[in-house]
Amino acid sequence: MSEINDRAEALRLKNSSRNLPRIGRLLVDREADSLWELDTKTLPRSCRKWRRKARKFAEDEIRPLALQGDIDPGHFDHTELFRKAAKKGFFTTLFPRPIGSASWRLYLRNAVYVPVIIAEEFAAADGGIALKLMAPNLGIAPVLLSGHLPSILRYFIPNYLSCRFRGKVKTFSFAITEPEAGSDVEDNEGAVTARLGTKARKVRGGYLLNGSKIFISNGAISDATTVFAKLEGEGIESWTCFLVEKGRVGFRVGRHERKMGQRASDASELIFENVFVPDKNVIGKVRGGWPLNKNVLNFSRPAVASMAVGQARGAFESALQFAKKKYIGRKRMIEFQEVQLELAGMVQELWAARSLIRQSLQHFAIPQSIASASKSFATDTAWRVANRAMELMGDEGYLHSNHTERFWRDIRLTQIYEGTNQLNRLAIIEHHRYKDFK
Amino acid sequence: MNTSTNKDKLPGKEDVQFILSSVRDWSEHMLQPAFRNGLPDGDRALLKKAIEALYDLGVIFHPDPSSAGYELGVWGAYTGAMGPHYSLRILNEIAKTCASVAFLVHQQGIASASLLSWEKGADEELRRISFAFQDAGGMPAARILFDQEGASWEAFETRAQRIAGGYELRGRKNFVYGQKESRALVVPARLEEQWALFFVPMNAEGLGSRDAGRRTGLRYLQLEHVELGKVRLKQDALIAGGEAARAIFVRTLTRNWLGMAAIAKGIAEGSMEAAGQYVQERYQGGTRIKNHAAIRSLLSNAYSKVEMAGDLIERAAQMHSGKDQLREAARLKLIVLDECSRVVSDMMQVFGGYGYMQEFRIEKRLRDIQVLKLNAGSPLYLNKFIYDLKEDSL
Repeated sequence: MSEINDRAEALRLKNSSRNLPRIGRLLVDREADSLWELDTKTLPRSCRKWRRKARKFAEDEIRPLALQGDIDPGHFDHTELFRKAAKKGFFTTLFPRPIGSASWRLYLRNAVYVPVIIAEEFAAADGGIALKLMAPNLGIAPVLLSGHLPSILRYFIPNYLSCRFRGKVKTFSFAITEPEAGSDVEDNEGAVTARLGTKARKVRGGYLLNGSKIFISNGAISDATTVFAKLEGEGIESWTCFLVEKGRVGFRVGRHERKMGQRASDASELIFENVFVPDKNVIGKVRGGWPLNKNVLNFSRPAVASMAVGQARGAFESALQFAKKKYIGRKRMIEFQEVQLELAGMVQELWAARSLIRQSLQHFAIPQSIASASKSFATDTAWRVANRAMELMGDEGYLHSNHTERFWRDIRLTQIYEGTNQLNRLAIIEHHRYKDFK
Repeated sequence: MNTSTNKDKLPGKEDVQFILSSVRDWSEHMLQPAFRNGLPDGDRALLKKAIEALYDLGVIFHPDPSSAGYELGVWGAYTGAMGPHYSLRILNEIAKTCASVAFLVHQQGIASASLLSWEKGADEELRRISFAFQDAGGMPAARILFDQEGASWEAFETRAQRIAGGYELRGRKNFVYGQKESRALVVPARLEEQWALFFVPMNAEGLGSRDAGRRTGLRYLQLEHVELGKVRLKQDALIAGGEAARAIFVRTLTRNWLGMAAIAKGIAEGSMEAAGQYVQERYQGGTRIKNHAAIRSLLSNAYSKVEMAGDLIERAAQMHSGKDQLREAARLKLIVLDECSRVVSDMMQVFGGYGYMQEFRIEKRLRDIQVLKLNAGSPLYLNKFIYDLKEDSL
């Protein structure tokens, strides 16, 4: 057996290539890199640095908190974690230097290139904490994507500068979902007949907001929220984005949802009772909320896809560690071909999903179809991978201490939020309806 | 213990219908209230009361012929003569509301049934017993189960040896499901290259157990790893040895997988009923969500899968016990658990964001069915197991 192993080892390309001419040898992969490193090398140079930095941060700062965030989210204190993340520049990646921390070259390629790469690394350590760290991007994105200079100068730039240079984090959340309108507010056709309950009434100097929003990530801890509301007496066409700061009279946090996973990040109800919002807090133009919302989702869906891939990678990695350690009879699990086939299948699926996400980043303005395709494909794939990882581990797979089940619970949400995957599939058709699917 | 069943005394259709309708009433009035307080895994005190009521109803099997659950308890004494249909229907019905309770009834039933041929007899203690399927190294391979060529007893870690006045057991049993304060275990072990089944009280000297820790689902039940360190047992602790022990193990394993499939189908049906109600009430795009093709497609697929699961369970239940039925039960566990867990996941999708929140209880069903899918034979294990059994008959 040992002789067979020795001969098989000698046949590996990195060894047998010694028999090739010198130039031929240079064309051979030396098998020196890990899967992760191989993949990192395909990224633009400045992005590789971000990926390495994010992975280190995830290992050092996120992973140790993962179990606590899941078991006892009520007492999970994010303050120190946020301060460290701000110091590393993770909260300011939606804008290039010197205001933000992204590199110009990447930024000109795609505004969310860096956040999408970071999202996978954070989520590979824990889905809930990753969401907590990524959601502020979603909250502030409407300010940036509105292209409204006064809003950007008033809210975006000061926030980024204070975060980047003083380590002072002001977090934003994004509020579109309502008790009677979930998927409606993410789909053109649904929106027309949506039962929208959050309304804004024009008053002197501003607007009065009434209604409620639900399932708002980081809703309970945010310093400000970008809230979408229709104007009183009008329909979805009048949707307008308002920035509502914590502490405004009549604005309060309602119930905290008890979720199956991603528990470190709160999903809260926000209640508005005659909340006065000054005119200066209208983000973009009045009645400009719908295209802004749709565009924010186009930019955020690849990030959600990337988080799902990260969580699935977390599940895969814990299953892999298990297979390396666990013995069945006298052999380690990983030595069984059945196990190798399963692990290989997971690697393939993760590669495929990641490739589609990277494809979406090739567009400066991410098209709806590719954003939705990458989100629905990656999250469905991640769910499959997490199931395979748990199945590989058998009974050990559902024990909390082995981590895999936490990733499995976390991933399930990614198939639902940012539009259910059914709705995202329809969004692909909707986008190209008058070109390809006429 | 008296194991004979008089065919004239076998319960008729009316008795079965009566028990089934009693279980439905019990479920509505005792089980469902345990989930109305919003606790994700139910109110433990109310669940305990509900389970006590099930004992009184005679739905939980107890191997004492004078007890209420002896005849019509799940996997009760008449199962051999009646076939498993009745037990499977009861488990299916309970699992529509709570898989943990269904699994508890099931586990108690299969463990108790293994004592029917035991000479020592039952007492009140046996209201809480568990069957320990797995060694620390995993489930027993098909090759061991049927003493096939190439069978390696090395892989069977729990061993017994004869000592003066009895037996000594050594080994570890992992992932043993039971009730709080389980009183005894039925432990399969290797005795002189033969099968043996032992009755091991939880307070036996040398027996240690530790909680398996936090887990995804079936949280009402106790889950333990058991250490058997030189556990000394008296002569009468041997339930069965040799061929009889092997036959009991095969029968118990078969019933375990059949029951798990029935519970999985019940979980799927419960989630479909909840989703069916939700689609009537929830509006999206100006219409009830039941009018959306995406939702109809999810529901339609779910109906088909659950119907298919029912057909497969029925087919397996009709087979004669033994190797063929065991293979069928393994297939059932592999296919039905997978399909039904997809159904539950799809029903969560119907609920959208609400499905992910604990108060709607779809997420509990998804967690529970995932645990069932992995317990006592993961898909990977079952694939190999089925192949080994099939190869033997080729």
